[in-house]
Amino acid sequence: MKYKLLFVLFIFNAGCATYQHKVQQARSLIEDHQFPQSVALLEPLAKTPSDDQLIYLLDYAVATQLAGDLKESTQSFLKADKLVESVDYHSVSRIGSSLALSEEMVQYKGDSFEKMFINAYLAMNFLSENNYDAAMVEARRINEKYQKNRLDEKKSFEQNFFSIFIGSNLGISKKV
Amino acid sequence: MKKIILLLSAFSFLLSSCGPKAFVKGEYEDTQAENLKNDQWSETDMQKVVHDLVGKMVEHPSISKSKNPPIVMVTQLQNKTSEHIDTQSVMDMVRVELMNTGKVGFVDKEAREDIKSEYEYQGSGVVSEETLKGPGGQTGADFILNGRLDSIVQEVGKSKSVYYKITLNLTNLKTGVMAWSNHKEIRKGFKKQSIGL
Repeated sequence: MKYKLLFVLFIFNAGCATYQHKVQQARSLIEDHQFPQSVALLEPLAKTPSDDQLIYLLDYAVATQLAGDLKESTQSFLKADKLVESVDYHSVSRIGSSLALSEEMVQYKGDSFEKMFINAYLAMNFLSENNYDAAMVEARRINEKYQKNRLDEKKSFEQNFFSIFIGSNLGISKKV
Repeated sequence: MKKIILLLSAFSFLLSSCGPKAFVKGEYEDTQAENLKNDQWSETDMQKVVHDLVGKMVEHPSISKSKNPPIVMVTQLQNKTSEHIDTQSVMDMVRVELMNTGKVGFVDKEAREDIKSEYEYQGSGVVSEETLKGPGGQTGADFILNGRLDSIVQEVGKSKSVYYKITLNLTNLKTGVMAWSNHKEIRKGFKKQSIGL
């Protein structure tokens, strides 16, 4: 009986190595404007396939943008955008495991507003590189996601108005 | 009952442990076979639109009734879609397919700097008189070929439709009149699985 209890405790402890815990130091470094150091901590998490790879990729892409490595930031956001599509389903086996073992067994799929942030950040990266055509591609992606959220009757807080603002301004500036 | 729950948990855990694996066993595939593996612009789309539009273009009197093969300069295909598409690759395919018909010739805008630099090199005295090439001997283009790629994406629930329209324009350089213009449309429908293993 003792061993069974220990086994259960072990499994629950394993589940406690959560996302928040793993990125805490990298976040503190960003707050201290130590971007390259933060990038170094986030890189192995973002580049290792895992159930939470999406969220690590987003953190890494933002950190690399802040560190001024726009090329790496863009590649990471593009990878995240593809990952969002590929994990957009409910895995019966993972949900089953999460009920029995750990919440982390379920793949992180990203919230609606996070998915729109990807394109807004990409648009900003492309604009910084004077690649206006590529930035406009991202503006159209933002619009598509906005329309889908609208048709899916997502709540207004799930719409990312910052991204919509970025996308709209790109469209307006093209017409001026 | 407890046993069933434990068994189910163990089975779920085993299944969920099957994480992403690297692609290790490959085989060559027919490049002309349809590729609808995802909802993105694919080489099949490119092949379909280019083949169709090139066929229509060479049938136009500006090309088919011309005494000599007209000289065409291929310029930009604007990307107005919501995907990062290599439009240079599309226009390369248009140029190759047109050239394979033998009905048109081409000047290469991209090669101009290299040509200029080679003229300078050859004119520096290092090349024999018989093989020397210099400015003034080039053939001017008769037409400019450009275009635009548009898309409309509609996604509701688990259904998605992607529509592409590629428009090509052939403009007479002497008159500035558009001699030919046509488009090709493609629409693809997709269903997304909401539940999987």
